[in-house]
Amino acid sequence: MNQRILVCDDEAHILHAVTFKLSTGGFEIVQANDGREAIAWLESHTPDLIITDYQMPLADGFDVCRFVRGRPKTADIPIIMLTAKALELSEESLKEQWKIEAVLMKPFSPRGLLDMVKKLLSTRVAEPALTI
Amino acid sequence: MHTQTLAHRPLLTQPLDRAPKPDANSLATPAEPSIPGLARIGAILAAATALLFCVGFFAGWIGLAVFGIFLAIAAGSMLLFQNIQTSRNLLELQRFVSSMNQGGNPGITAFTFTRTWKTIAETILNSHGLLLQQLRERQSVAQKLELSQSLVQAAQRRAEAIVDCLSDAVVVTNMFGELLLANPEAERLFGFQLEQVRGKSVRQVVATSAMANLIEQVAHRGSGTQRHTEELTITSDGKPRWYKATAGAVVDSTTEHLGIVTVLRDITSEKAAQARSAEFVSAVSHEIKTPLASVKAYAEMLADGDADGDPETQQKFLNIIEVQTDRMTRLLESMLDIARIESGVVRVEKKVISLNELIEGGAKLMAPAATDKNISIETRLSSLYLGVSADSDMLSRVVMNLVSNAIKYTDRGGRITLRSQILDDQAAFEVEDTGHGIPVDAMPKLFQKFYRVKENSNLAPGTGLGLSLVKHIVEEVHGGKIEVQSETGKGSIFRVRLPLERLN
Repeated sequence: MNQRILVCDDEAHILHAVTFKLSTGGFEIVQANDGREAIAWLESHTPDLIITDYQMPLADGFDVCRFVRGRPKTADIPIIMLTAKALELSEESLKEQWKIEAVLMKPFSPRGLLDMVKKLLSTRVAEPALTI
Repeated sequence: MHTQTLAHRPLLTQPLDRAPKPDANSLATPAEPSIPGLARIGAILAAATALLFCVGFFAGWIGLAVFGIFLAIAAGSMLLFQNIQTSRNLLELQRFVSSMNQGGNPGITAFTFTRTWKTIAETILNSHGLLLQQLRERQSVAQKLELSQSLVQAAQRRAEAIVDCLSDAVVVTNMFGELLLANPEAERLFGFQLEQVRGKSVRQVVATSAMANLIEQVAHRGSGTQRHTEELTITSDGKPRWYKATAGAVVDSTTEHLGIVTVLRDITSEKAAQARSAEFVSAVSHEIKTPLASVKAYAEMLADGDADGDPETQQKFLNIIEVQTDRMTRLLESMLDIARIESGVVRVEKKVISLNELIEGGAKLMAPAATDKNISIETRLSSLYLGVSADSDMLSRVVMNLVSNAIKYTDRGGRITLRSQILDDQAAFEVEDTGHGIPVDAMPKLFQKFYRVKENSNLAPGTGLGLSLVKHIVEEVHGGKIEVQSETGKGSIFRVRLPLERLN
C-alpha cells in the first residue's frame, strides 16, 4: 500500500503543486484547504506524514501540530512545515516545541521537498524492520 | 522661576558732582600753613611795646612810654591788616571750593589769593582732582560689574527659557542625585511641582528607578564629560511610553562635576513606526513569497519534465505561472501607489468639484465589470449640488475602488447602489452591495495594509491594499471619514463623508 501524506495549505496552487510532485514519487496524497479541514480528517485517519502551511484561516499550522502531538495515535507522525513567514518563526523553536522534522521556507523547491519526504519515510519504514 | 528685573537705576547712589567732600586728613601737605610773617612781626611788636611801655611808665621815662604807645598802635594796625587779609583769603577759598564742588575746574588765577593761600588752594585743587579720578575709576569698575551681572542674569534667563520651551523633559540634579531644576515637560511627565520637590532625591521623586540609576551611573564615573544614553519606559497618565534618556555631567573648566543634566526624549512614536515598518516588511515579504512560491514550484516541475508528454498539464502550469506573476505585479503596483500617495510624491491638486459628477463618472467606468457578473448598478444621487474640495483623480480612485470591491464580493445577479446626500452638514456618498458581507471580527482590521477577509479571499484576487489606500485618501488627504456597515450574507455599505464646500 502506498504511503499516505496529508498536505494542508490554503493557497490552492501550492496545494496542487505539492500534490502533483509527491504523486510522481508514488505517494498517496490527501488535501486539506485549511487547518480545520486537516484536523477533521485526522480525527479518523492516520497518515504517514503531514505537510502543513503555518498561516491559514480558521485553524493555523500550530493548531494542526497541537492536535497531532496531543493524541497518542498521531503523536509520532513526522511533520514538515511549509511557510512564507520567514521573519516571525524560528526553525529551532518550531522543532523544539512541536517536534517538527523540517521547516521549509516558501518559495520552496518541489524537487527538494520530494527528496526530503522520500528520505524521511524510508527511514521510518526501515525502523520496524530492524526490530523484527 | 524667579525673575529679576533689570533696573536702569543710577550707577552710583550719589552723582559725581555731589560726591562727599574730601576728608581733611587726606589732603596733601602743607597741612598746616605757617602763621604769616606779618602776624608774627605784629605779635613781637605788641610784646615789645608792652615791655617798653611798662619800663618807661614805671621808670618815669616819658619818651620811652610814648614810643611804646606808638609801637602799640603800629602793632595793632599790622594785626588788623593781617586779619582783614585772612578773612578775604578765606572768603575767596570758600568761593573756590564751592566752585569746585559745582563740578567746574576753577582756574586759580580767577581768584585773588595771597601767595601762601594760593599754595593752599592749589593743594586743595590737586587733591580734588585725584579724588575725582579715583571716583571715576571706581564708577567704571562698578559699571562693568553691573553690566556683567546683567549679562549673566540675561544668559541664565535665556537658558531657562530655552529649557522651559523644550518639548523634551529636562532634569538637572547635583552629584548626589538631588533635584535642582526641572522644566515644565519634566514636571508633567513625572507629575511633580519643582518647588515642592527641589532638593529631594530623584529616587524619591521619580517612580522609574531606571532614571535614578542612569544619573548614578554618570555620577560614579567621576570627572569627565561622558554622556550615557538609555531607552526606558515611563508610565505617565497610565500609559507606558518610550523615552530616550541622555544623562551628562556638567563640568567646570577644571572638569570638576557641577551636576548632571538628564534629557528625556519621547520616542514612542518612533518605536511604533519601527514596529509598523517591521510589520510592513514582514507582510510584504509574505504577500510576495506566496505567488513567488507558485511560480518557482511550477517552473521547476516543468523544467524537471514532470509534465512531459502531457500538454494539457504543461499548459495549466504555464497559466498558473502567468497568473501568479500578474498577481505579484499587481501587488507591487499597489504598494508603489500607496507609497507615492502616502509619502506625498503625488501632488495633491484640490479644487471644488461636484461629488455627483464624480460618482457618475466612476459608475460609468465600472459598468462593464458589473455587466460581466450580471450585477446592476443603481445611482440615487442628491438633487442638490454637493461641492467638495478634492483632488478629482484621487477621489475617483476611491469611488472606483469601493465599486470594484462591491463587484468582487457580490455574487452574480446582485445589486450595487450608489447614493449621495447631505449628512450632518457633510457631503456623503455610499456604495451599497448585496454581497457576502464582512464578519464582525474582521471589521477592526479592514483598513489595515494586506489584510484580507479570509472568508471572502477566495472570491476574488486582491492585495489587501485597496481599502488602506482609500482610507488614506479620504481621511488624510481630504479630511473626511470612511465608515462601514455590514452583515454577513446580506451585504455591506461603505460610506464616505467629506467636508461640504458651500457655494458663495
